[in-house]
Formats: sequence, C-alpha cells, structure tokens
Amino acid sequence: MDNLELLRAIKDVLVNEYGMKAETISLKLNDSIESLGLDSFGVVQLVYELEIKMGIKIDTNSLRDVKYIKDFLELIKKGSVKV
Amino acid sequence: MFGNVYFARYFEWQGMAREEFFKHMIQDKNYLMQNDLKLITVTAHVDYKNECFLYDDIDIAISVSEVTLTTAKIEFVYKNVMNDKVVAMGYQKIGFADKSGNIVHIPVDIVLGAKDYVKDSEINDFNKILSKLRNI
Repeated sequence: MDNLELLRAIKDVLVNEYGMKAETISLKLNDSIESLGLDSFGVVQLVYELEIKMGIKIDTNSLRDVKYIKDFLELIKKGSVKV
Repeated sequence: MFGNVYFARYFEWQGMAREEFFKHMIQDKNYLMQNDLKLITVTAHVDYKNECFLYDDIDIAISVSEVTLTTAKIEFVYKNVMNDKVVAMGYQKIGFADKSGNIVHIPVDIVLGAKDYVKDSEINDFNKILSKLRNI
C-alpha cells in the first residue's frame, strides 16, 4: 500500500470507528501523531483496527518511536501479513 | 459537620469495588499477574449527590460501558442501604499494559467476563468489539 492508500485507510477508521467527521480530518505526513486527536490508548486502538482492516500484524511495541504521521505509516508498512 | 465521609474515601471505595468486580468476573485472582498484565486507571471521577456518615452501609453497583479495543468504562452507583438514597455516582476509564508498559488490547477473557455487566443499550457495540478482539 502506498502512503495515499494508508492515509485513506486511517481516515476510514477515524470516521467509522471514532465517529470523527471526514471533513475535519487532515492527515499530513509531517504532522505530529498527536494531530490525530487521540490519546495513547486511542492510537493503539487505531493500530488494532488497521490490523483487522488490512489483515496484517503491526509491531505496537515500536509505537513509542512514532512521532509523526510519516513514522506511523512506515510502522504500518513494516507490518507482516497474518498467516 | 462532624462524621460525614471524606470525599477521597469514595475513590478508595471505587478501588475496592473494582477489585471485587475483577475477582468475581475473572474467577482467578492471579489472572493479571500470570499474564504479565498491568491494569491502568486512565481516569477516575466522582459526583457527590448526598452525604453519608460513619457507620452507614453503602452498596456500590457496577456496570460497564464504552468498551473499545483498548479501554472500558466502569461505572459506580453508591447507595446508602439505610435510606436507599444515591450518595454518589462515579466512573473509571481503564486500560491494560504488558510488563514493559506497552498498551495492549483488553484481554478477551476480561471482556467475556464483563458481558453480564454491560448496559443493554451498548450490547451491540460490545459484541462487535468482542468479535474484533477474537480476530486480533
């Protein structure tokens, strides 16, 4: 998946699972992860929702190193396909 | 006023009620330790409605709401058994972490144990969460 597809997937989850309004969500690569408007539990939940949506396993232990949206996308891309 | 219950005591009672709730729900008091899990209190809140006093018997009813993959809300209603008055209402938002402090999803066993305490209005959302947890 390229960055655009990943950003779209994240936006889908924020709208469908968090009830956010699509028009209020702005996802830019250099924005901080805090710009998602989620607390730390919310970010981990987002990861789990993306795992389910994409059928992959993401290393949540590496979330501590994620500062920006672009870091988050790189983490997702490293996710392995679930067997 | 002399003898009314100090405000902070209500948080202690929340803690006691929560521990009894988990003991009853999981049936295994060592579950958290055996699974290297830490229970995290994200938020704790109390609304004070009526005073209660020394030697009053207080009953605390628990329900569960707003269950997500990583957090849940435990709601408390404190009632004075002597006069049936609600003395306080409160809630906690809880989550879980592994032994390294990394946030993890709520264990399926705990969610299953909480099913009987979920508010009727939230049971559909709860079942969706349970289904997702089984797929993680």
